[in-house]
Amino acid sequence: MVTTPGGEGQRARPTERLLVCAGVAAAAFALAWLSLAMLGPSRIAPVWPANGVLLAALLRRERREWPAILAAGLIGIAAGGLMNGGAVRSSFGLALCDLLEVGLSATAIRAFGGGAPDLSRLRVVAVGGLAAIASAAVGAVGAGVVLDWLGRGSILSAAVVWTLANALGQMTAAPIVLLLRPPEGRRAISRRKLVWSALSLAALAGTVSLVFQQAHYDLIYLIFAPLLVVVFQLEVLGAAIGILLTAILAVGFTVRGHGPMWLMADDPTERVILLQLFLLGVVATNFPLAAALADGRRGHDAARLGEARYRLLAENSRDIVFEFDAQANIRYASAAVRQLGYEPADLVGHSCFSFVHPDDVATARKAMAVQLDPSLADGVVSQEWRLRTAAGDYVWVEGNPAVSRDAEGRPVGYTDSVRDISRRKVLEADLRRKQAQAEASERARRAAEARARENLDELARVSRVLSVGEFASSIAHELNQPIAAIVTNGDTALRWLGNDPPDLAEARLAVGRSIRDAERAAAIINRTRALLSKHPPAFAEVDIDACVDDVLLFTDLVLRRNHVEVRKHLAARIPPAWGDRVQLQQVLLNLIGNGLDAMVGNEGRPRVLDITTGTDPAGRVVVTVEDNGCGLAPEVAERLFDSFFTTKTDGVGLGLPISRSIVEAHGGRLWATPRKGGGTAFRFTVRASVGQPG
Amino acid sequence: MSAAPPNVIVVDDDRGIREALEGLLRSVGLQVSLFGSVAEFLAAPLPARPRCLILDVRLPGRSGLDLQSELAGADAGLPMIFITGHGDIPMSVGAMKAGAVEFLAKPFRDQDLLDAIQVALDRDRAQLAGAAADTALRTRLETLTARERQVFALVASGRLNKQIAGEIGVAEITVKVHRGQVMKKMGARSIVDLVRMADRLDLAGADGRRAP
Repeated sequence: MVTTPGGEGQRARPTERLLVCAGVAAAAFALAWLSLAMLGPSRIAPVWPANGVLLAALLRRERREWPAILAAGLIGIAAGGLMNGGAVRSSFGLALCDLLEVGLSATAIRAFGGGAPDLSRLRVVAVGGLAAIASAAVGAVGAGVVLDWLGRGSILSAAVVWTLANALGQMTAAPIVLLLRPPEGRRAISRRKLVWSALSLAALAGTVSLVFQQAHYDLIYLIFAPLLVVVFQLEVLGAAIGILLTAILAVGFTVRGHGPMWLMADDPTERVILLQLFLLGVVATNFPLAAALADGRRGHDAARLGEARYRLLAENSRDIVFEFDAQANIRYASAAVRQLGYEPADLVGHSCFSFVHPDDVATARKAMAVQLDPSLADGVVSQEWRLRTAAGDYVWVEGNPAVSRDAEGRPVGYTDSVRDISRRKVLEADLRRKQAQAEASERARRAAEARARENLDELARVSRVLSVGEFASSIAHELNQPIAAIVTNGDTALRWLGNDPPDLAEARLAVGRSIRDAERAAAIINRTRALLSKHPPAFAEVDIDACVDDVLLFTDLVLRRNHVEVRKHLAARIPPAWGDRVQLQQVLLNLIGNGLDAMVGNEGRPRVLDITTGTDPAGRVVVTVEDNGCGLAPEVAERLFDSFFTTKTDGVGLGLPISRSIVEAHGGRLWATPRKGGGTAFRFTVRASVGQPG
Repeated sequence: MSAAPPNVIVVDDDRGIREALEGLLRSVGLQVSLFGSVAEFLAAPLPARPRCLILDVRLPGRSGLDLQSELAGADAGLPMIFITGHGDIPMSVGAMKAGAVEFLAKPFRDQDLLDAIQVALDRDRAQLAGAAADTALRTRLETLTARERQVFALVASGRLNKQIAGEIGVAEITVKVHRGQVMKKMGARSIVDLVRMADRLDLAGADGRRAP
């Protein structure tokens, strides 16, 4: 028999292939010889099992091995025929017909059987049955032609018997060979089942023997009873063994002149056909039944496996698995529910919502309702809610409710796998808190920046007030002059008007002078107010030359009284600076004040202040204020821009640091360099307004 | 007094003030000279008397007070009126001690200034008059002989005729003759008048220092 390991797609070793072919040849020879020997030279065999073995060999081996197998079969069958006294021509001719038949059947089963020749599948059984009958018919035609050519017997009767014999040969022998090693692997058979199966087979054998050795032909149907028991017990294997056993016994008894066939027909051919039809009935009922049983068992197994897997998952998962009925009452809770402190059985029958945090019930209800009617989902449906533990506190969980439906698709309840997400919630809350902290600190930083800016602006203003304060006497005096002039002009006008006759022309002149002086006073007040204004800095285009002129107007008196000569070197074409006019004036005021202070000690030397405007290579506006005073001592130069550092007895020491802050806020730089020939040059840059918005 | 109108000199660096003062002073018939700085003022010749100076204390360059002490040498006696935007007290005290007529803080009323100007002009006139009287007395002193001048001094110092005679070694009667000549030549109506004249001519003091 064929016991070679390996299957489709696995390349067989040459020695193994040789063994297969030898086995096939030997089996074919044995069966052919046996079949013919049992019948004698003139008879036709009711069953031709050699073809079944050949078919099974083909189905189990790769296609490219078929020629070798078929050749082996040819040799075996032909040899069987020759050994029974057959002529060489007829033996080889009929054997060739067998090969044709087996080849056709194997090809058809391969083509239409849908995968492996698994007899537990109804399709394989059906295709196999039809292929056996059809191929046997073709083989019978071929045999008829061969026999006719050889001038032996009737074509028709030979064809019918041949067809049935060969079909039965395929149907009885092939299954047992195929089942010797089922393609899906052997299933262990329990000892208990083995005993029962052996008893059933014994009962079958007994029944068949009894039926074929008594005189009531209708008792033939008794055979079906033990046969069905065998089939029920062993399914396909039972069918194969049972059928084989029945066939061997039935053929054996009939050939030896016993059995119901002898009671039903006198003609030997007719008897053979009756036997064949009986066996065909046995085959046609039992194989489909076995396949159907296997199919049902498979379905059942699959369901049980699925159930087992489901339970396994449900019981071992960290997720809690719930089943709810249509009213959301708990039907089942998995063991994981113990992590909430509950026993699964205690929960059955309770509404699932009774464990949900009151604030989250609506969320949970909605999540379940959406499963029934997806149109209810408006936006994101939260699947997160809190469940009460047995201890009474709540844990955050994430639910995944799904509707379970019956076979007609009607919703009958829900399943829900619930995951404890409290850790995730903690992380999320942590993240949110950190984000909030980050945002808060960012806000605080911005606020601090804004405060710092405000502080700088306020400090700048205070410093400006102080700077203006340094010029306060100058302002007072300057303001006093026009006021004094106004008073005098007013008195004068009154005198001219008091004359007899009044001198209106002179009075008008005096009033005109008053108005001019009043305007002058107003201009001084406006200049001062601008410098003292509390308005936040407003950046705009600033004409730096006009700025210099304004500051000089302001400092004019003090400079003149200190005999300082101011020399302006204003650039012809200078782009407007981008900045706050008042703050830039403050810087200039500071630098001019410092220059003045530096030159107070110039005894016997003219005091000269040079003010230069221009642009640097980078296009920034540059202003230089140079004095020819005492210059800076190195220790002073080092600390020039330190806050509260001053060389003046009445100074505060904020003028230069604040001027530097202002200039830097204008995207520029303020620095001091010694001047050739004595004195100091203070220079600052400001962004030009080119390309500035507005 | 004289037909020539008084002159007022204004030195102030503020054009508005200068023009206002000029308008005011013109309205009361005073002649005004305006200067923007002390340097300008010094460079120009002084106008005719009677005259006075209105000066801003805090002028650029040499200040008003500097000018005051400077003028004390050459043009001493030019009456000055100080005006200032900063009426600080130490400065005004200093100015007044140095002989300023008035110290006015801006803004001032016209009458205050005009009154001060009047005082200043009167003082200038008086100075002018005083200077004329001294000249006449000196001319008369020149007419005395040496002996008469000697007797004049001794009389002015309060010595008796007999003492004088003993001192210069002449007879008492000669002293009387010399004294009569002195009285007549100097135009003194009494011995007291004569003593006052000697005082003005600073004769007695000089002689007195020689006294033991």
